[in-house]
Amino acid sequence: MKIARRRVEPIKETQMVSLADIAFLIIFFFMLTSTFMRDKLSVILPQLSVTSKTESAITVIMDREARIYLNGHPVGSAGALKTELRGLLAGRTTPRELEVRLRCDKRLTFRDYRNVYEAISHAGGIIAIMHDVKK
Amino acid sequence: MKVSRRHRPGPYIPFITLADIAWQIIIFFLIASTFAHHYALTVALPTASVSPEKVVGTPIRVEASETSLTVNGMHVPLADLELQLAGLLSGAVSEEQRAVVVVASDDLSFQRNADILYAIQQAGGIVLISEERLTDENRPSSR
Repeated sequence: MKIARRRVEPIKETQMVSLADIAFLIIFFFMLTSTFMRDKLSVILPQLSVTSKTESAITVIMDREARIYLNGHPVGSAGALKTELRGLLAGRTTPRELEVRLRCDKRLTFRDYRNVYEAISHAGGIIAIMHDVKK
Repeated sequence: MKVSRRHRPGPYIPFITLADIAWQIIIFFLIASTFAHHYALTVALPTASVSPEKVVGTPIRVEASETSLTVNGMHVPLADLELQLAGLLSGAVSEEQRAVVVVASDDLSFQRNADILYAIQQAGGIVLISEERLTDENRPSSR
């Protein structure tokens, strides 16, 4: 008996559905990994040679007018900063976990940032002085 | 008379345009993202184990203002600080031996402060920022 072979037609269509799936997966990746300008306050950082990288999630910012911000929110004083940092650092033990990123305007003087140094230190944090890399 | 029915097309989602939009968004993210590298100089200020008060012996003392810099009372240019400290710290092993007490004046800028702390760390020292303040009375003359 002769069995008629079914002819397999080559696919002429591009698989747009799977392409869109891949594209949306990439979009989700970007959306989940992006930090969306957490450090949006403009601060001129000091310039140093390359040091180590930091991944700390706690950021203290001091702008040109010596205003203090903790994770983007204004903090009234160094005393208030110390109290808030104590809460954030509670339960953290390793030096990596205790790092507090300090983004401080390079033109501020010791008179301005001294209290912030003390607040971070007394709250149990390790100061990670953020800087730009000298070119 | 028999009227032939018109063939109705089924529901159709235009995936080609959907993919186009998705790729546009990807390109936006690729261009707008700044793959930032955050560099930081880590300074562990006085803790329970090592603090200016608990350091045994005479630690190296760096007095810094915006215009002057001394190491154990000797004037040192900022560019030579690392070398000077490396010499003084050679042979120091324990944390207490490597302690460098920094006394700053009110006018010390954050940039200069960072430069000094960087030099101390590069020389192998451990920074201890003293609560003592450098004032006009105890400040070394500027050079």
